[in-house]
Amino acid sequence: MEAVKNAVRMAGITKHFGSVVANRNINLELHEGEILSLLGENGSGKTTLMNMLSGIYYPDKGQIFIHDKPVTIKSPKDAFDNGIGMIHQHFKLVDVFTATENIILGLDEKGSLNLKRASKKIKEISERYGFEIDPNQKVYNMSVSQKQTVEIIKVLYRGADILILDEPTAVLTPQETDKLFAVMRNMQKDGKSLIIITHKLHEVLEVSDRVAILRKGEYIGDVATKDASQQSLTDMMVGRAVSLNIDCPKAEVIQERLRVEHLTVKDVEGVKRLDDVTFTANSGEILGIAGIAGSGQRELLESIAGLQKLEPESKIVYIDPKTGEERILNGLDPLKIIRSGVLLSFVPEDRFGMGLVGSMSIAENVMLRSYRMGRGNPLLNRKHPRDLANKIVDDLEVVTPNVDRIPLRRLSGGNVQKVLVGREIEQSPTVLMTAYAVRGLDINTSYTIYNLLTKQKMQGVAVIYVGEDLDVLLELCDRILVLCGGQVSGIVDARSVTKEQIGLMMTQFRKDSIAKEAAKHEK
Amino acid sequence: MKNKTSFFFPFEVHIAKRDGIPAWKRWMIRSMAILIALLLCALITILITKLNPLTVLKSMFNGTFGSSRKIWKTCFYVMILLGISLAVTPAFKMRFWNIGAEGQVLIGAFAAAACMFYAGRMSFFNDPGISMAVKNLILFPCMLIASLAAGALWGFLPAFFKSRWNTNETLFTLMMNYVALQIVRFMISYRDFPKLYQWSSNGTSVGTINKGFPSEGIGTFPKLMNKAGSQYLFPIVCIALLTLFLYVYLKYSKHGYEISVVGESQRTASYAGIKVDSVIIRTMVLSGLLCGLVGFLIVGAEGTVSHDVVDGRGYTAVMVSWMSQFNPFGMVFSSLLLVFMQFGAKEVAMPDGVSLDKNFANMLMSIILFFIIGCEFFITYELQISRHTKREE
Repeated sequence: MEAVKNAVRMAGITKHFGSVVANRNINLELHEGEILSLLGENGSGKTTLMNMLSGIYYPDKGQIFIHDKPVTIKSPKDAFDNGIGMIHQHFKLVDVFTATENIILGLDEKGSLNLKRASKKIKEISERYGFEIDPNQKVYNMSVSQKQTVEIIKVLYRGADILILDEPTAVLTPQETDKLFAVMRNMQKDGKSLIIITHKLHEVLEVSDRVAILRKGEYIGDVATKDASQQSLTDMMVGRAVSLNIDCPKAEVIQERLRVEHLTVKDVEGVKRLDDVTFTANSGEILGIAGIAGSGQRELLESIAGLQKLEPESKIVYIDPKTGEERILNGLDPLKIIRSGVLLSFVPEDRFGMGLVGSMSIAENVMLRSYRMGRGNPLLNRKHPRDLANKIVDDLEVVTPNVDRIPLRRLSGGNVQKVLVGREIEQSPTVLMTAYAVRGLDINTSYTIYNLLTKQKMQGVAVIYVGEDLDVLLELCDRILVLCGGQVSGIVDARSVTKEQIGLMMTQFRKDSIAKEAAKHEK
Repeated sequence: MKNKTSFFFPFEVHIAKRDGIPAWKRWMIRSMAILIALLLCALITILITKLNPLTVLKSMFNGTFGSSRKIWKTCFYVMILLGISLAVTPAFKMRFWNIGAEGQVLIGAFAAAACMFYAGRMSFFNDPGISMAVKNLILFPCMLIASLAAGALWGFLPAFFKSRWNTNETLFTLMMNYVALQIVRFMISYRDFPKLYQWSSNGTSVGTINKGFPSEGIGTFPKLMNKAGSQYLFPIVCIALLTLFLYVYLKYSKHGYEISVVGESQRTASYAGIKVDSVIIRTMVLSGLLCGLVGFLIVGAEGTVSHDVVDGRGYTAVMVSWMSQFNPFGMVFSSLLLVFMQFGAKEVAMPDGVSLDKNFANMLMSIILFFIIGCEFFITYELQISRHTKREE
């Protein structure tokens, strides 16, 4: 066996944040020309470790070797000089610039600014690895997948031969994911070394050569992908055997709870974000909502929550579970919805931008829903939310030093999400809406949340679950509504539909309407 | 790989955000900062003026606490600055960049003075048969209500325009300051109030309102046993109570909670059913009310009004509020520090004092402020010093 050469070797890396150890004595190797999956639960220190490689953090202890040479990486520029490029989860692109302009932005090339030369180089890179990109397209016209492509080319353009991709597939459709993997394999053939962070185990198995596992900031070990299975990886990651089945029992009583008719929403520019959406959500059911990111999922949930301006033909009717009385919700703001006795819980997609306040403690965030308690008393009741916060922390195993001092922003993503979901469930809702409830969460936490949702359903709650992982949608939901460009392209029984059918429905409407447009022009 | 640094440092310094810091350490950093600032001040004093820095400090102390009258006055000035700082705090906590305290206090003061002026022309208030206590009992509530209403209006307008048409509150409040200023200037010269010359026995001194009328002195806070400076007692007590009230309001009330949520994220607030627009208006009206109250207290204590009665304290208050990180009790210390510097600087410049230029004392004040504000960096961040990893070429 020939000796493997290391593209990256991180030796004895330790990083503290205050008293918290994010990484403890980690020894990680990335061989030249391999795709390595970095796997771990939320808060296990994957991102911290990669940030040290890309120059965002600096390790307290330890040494990084690139191609067996010791290096000091103090800034993202040092990382680039060492041929390391990281593609972050959140894209950092200028919307009004073209792909080319974004790619050369910040580069200090010799000579005058030559966009043509840059475009040519971008074309070469695209052809070599199989990217599909128009160098002159503006970023605001691009899909998420195209933006990601720009990010990857940006890194390659700067001559990176070690690429780190932080959850690149979280925002992609299955088809787009396949394309990305093909590109990754092309890069691998070209001698690049890649690290991919993802929570989706089937992707780990599909794309990588080797899997390295972190748990609670420590390096657990690595396995060759061909010797691994979903179950074995999960067990290593969590540290104990975990069951990977989602139950989808049928509830006995299924009643109409929420009826949405002709829901139409326009954005500030007058573009229809939702177009004539009609469906019902029933108690004892999980209604899944599938669609490419930005197909109107956010507007749909926000409309029901009273946060969107609806077009006049829209109608949202809530059926009270006790009296059977029908209540019209359109036109009500969130406070009026609460006051009218509708028990509506909503886990929004944007956690800190909407559902939570990052600088406040867990107890203060729990209070967001209940602070109005005790009408007539101008003062806050702080004890009740604190007790509730403690209950949520205990029930959902939230890892936190305390509930009433540490700002929520300091907790890891999984714990933050548990607090949000926990709070919304504690309202004992009759309708529970969740948007990407498990985005960015590790497999263990995800399953905790799936079980919570199923439990709610069995208690007679009407659950609406906006999701991106089609496998999960199929297993978890009773019915699935597929959105495409703001329109409903179908409502299907989750027990009989296939992943491919849904994938097609997600893109179908768009194709139909394009075909229609084309036909119009021909006439 | 190329290696750009040719010289070799044995240590490397990294700036890292702290994860939280115990209270004692925080206060240690602050005291260290003040200590270093004082040492630096002393050094500069010696180098430039060849004076003993202790003499200068003593002179500053003398200017602030030198006599009972000075102590009263210092307390009053501290309380006024504190009052305005308290007033602007709810708005800033809501991230509403209100720099209109100057105008809100001024218009509040003007409203109180107008009440005094017009009441002073009424026969009832000029009737020597009616005791001062009765007159004041009627006049004080009128003045208070007028001040509160004027301040509240000045706070309401920018908030209303902000919530309705999303106007920029910083520009709006700034402009409102000029409006207030010009109204007061106009009224003082046009209506000749406070009566500066005609009724004044001494034709050149700045007069108090109603001077020379039988109604002279109505609407001013009474002195305790005729002691000089004791007319300041009422404002001092008022602001002390206000400090307590604001502490509770911001920290323990539902309104205070709503303000924090709106300040952090308006979308989160709407999601939780908080009406962002009405919280903005409500909070700015409160801010304006409190500013109006301070205006009333100033006029009641001084018995007069002028266009520079607020004297830039509406802007200084913004600094006090931020320096104390919106903590009402912290503001007591910040206000005290600033007033001490101001009075100290004046005293230092006195010919019978150490006779230094006023600007010199201002320079010392700036040094101390720089250190106090600058040390917050070390509270938020820490410097990590690590051994340089050796480069093997």
